[in-house]
Amino acid sequence: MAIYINGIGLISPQETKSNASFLEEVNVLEGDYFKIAEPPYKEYIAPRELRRMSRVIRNGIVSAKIALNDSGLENPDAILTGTGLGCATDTEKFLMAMSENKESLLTPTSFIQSTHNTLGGSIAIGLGCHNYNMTYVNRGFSFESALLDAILMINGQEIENALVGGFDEMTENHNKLLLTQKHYAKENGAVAGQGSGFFALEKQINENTYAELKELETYFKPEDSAIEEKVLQILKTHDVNTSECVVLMGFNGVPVEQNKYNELRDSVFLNSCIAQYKNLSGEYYTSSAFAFWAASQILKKQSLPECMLVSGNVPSTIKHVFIYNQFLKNEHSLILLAK
Amino acid sequence: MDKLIEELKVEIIEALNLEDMEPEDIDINEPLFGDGLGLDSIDALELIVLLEKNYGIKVEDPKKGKEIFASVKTMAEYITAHQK
Repeated sequence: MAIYINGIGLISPQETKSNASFLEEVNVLEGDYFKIAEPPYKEYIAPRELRRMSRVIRNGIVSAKIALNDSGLENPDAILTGTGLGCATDTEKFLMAMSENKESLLTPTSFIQSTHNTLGGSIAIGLGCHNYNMTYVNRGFSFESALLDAILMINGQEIENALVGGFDEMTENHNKLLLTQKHYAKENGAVAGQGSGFFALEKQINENTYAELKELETYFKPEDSAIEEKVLQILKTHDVNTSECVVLMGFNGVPVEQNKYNELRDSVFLNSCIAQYKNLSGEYYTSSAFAFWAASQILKKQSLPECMLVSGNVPSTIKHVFIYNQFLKNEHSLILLAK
Repeated sequence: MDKLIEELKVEIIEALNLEDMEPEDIDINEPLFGDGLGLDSIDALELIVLLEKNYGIKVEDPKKGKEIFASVKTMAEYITAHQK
């Protein structure tokens, strides 16, 4: 059964709150990790509700509202969220208070807001939506897991549509910890990032449709040749002409991972247009949601921003966008979208 | 008492994250809950923790909460009467 992306919303380190523009200007990295380009929250959320929300909840709600408004969908059949870290700021606040006050005098707000499913619940409360609501916390597969749930439920005819999102936030403390790991080390390491991307998926195509979701596959610690084999299989199944395809790869500056992307580029995608996104979003558990947003935009606008181009020529007609994301060499995801 | 009231206003704004408010926006006789500042039950818990953490005062009898947290002025009076 076909599944269409009919609405998108992204709050990220870039100016992405408006779907009318597409990365025309680039916010460069300042500091040790990518910070969010904050939207005017009060235009989207009532001040009374806003005061208890941490930034990640605000960004999640704003991006969800943008996606819903974009699609015209008012009450989705399912709200599915994915996050690696959840509400990191409030979790830190709650744990710090617990430590400083010797497990007493704990305030309720940061506890209530610190759970990973706070965002899914807040979106549902805001909409008055009592439908299926699920949050996936599966490290580098978190967004993909939410997406997979939507695919299974739509294909199983349990639902007609779903609001699916991936969100994560980075904090000063967490980034300090990351910098002690090889993956994020300052020399040849990834730069941490954050963002929140939401998508309205529906069975029906409409005039606002961005793309069709053709395939989603995830692999945990695959054998060396497995990814190439799987990519070839997907391309064959969906009859993809690689010269009419833009390939979004999660290049992140880590040499070992870079080699994996390069291998695929130099074999399967030799005549494709290769593009990147982590130079704009940074590395985080749900960065594939940034890629999903960019892929939707590329297909609808039939253009690729210069800041994303790595090599090759942009096809005159972009029929497919293939996303290959990997996280810490363990989690690999392959997503195919079609015009 | 005036100094305590001013301190209390700043602490309430910070604890409850009343982003757009300044201390001078809070009328000391205005009800904290309902029509006045419009606080709710979660805020009540935050205020109980604030009293204990910042002033060492534990609200033992929950029934007194309504009286204590009626306004900034009643909170300040309670603190003055119970602070050791």
